[in-house]
Amino acid sequence: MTDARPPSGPFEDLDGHTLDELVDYLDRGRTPLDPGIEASPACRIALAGLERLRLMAGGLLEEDAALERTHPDCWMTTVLDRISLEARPGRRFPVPGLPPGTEATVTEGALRGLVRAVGDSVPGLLTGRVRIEPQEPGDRMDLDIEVSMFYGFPIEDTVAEFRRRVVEILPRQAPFTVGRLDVRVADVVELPGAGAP
Amino acid sequence: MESTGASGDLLALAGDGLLAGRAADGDSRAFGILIRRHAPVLRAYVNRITRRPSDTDDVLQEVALAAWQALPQLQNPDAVKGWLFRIAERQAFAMLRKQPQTAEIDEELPSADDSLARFDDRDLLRGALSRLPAQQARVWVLREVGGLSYDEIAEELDVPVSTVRGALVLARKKLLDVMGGTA
Amino acid sequence: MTDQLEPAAKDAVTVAVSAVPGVRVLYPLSGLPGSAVVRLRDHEDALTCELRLATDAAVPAREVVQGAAGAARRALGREDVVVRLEIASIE
Repeated sequence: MTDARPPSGPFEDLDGHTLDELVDYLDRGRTPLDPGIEASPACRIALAGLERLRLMAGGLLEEDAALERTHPDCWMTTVLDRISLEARPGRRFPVPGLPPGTEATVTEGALRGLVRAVGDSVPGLLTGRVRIEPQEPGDRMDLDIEVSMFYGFPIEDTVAEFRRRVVEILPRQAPFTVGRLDVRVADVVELPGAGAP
Repeated sequence: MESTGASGDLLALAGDGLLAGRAADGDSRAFGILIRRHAPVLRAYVNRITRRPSDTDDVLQEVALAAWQALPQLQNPDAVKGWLFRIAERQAFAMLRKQPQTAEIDEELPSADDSLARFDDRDLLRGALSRLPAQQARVWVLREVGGLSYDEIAEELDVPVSTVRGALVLARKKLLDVMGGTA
Repeated sequence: MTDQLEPAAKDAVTVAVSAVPGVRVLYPLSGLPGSAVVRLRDHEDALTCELRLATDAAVPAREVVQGAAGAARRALGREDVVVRLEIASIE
């Protein structure tokens, strides 16, 4: 097949309908059913073609990606170098009770990172987003932590172990006491090779 | 805390939502895994929009930097893939605007013809797309692959909506012709 | 502090604070590449020393802060230094 076809292909004459109309009709999910379109063989062929095109469009990028040789990602290394210099510090919590002449703060980013590391150290668990509330820093702060669990680990025990470690480790570093500690299991992830039955 | 060695690998098993949440909190390791996971399709998408693969590393770099900046504002971390596609579109358009249109030389995009014995519908589509004028192919990809509305495409390409509709009709006709009415 | 003395003083602070138990590394004070890790400000008889630290999770923050402040003062050879610390990472 070549591209030297005359412009008047089979999709020029659609029994009085335009291709644009058919596309809009498809976009509406062919509802309400248009008897005029549905009764026209030319329209039905065009609709089938459009649907096929749409189906193929769906996997186009994945196939493009699979056909490409793997690319070296030096660009990503550049990105990571740049963003590591601007890690998100967030709020700064003052360390209370220091002698005169010494002032110190702990960043929210440092505390989130600590909570992430604590969670990741618990077998069966990965830490996600960590929220420290309320917005106004005070003596007592609440924590809201999202986690993923690996399939096969007991959720209750694992979360309890995580909470225990947070309560043990965080007060050494955070200039506030931990109030409410919410751990939400967002999803369960399968370990490769340890699949579900 | 030294126990993160093993979880370095385990983190690669995490879902997009978890990685996006961590990256929003400032975890660059999670961010790296997330971006590398989606880089191949993002690259393919940018290539399809710009038709200039040699510039795509630069575009992807901008996509990643823009994503890092905007992640804390992402409302639904589970929808991060679609969100990255939107950023990729914007950065691809920015690149097109930066380079004069006359410099638009179509480069070779992946084609299965010489690398695989198989020759299927999608190879036909790929061939047909590569023969379309750049703007027609671009508009078709944005609509059918990116799922953008006519208004969004018009705004991004800075052309009237009627131009987008017109280009889409031409693109669809040619693609249907090549694919044959053999449905 | 004279301009000639300042680089040597900063180096001395860097070495001394880095050796404090619980201090992992001194971070640059700004996100700009090549930014300094120690800032010294001398005005109206008061010397201020600013540092950003990555610390060890096993050592309590207060202990690290006091240790680092003391080390900085000893390195600068004077007690009347205002030390401002930020713990930017806990590992």
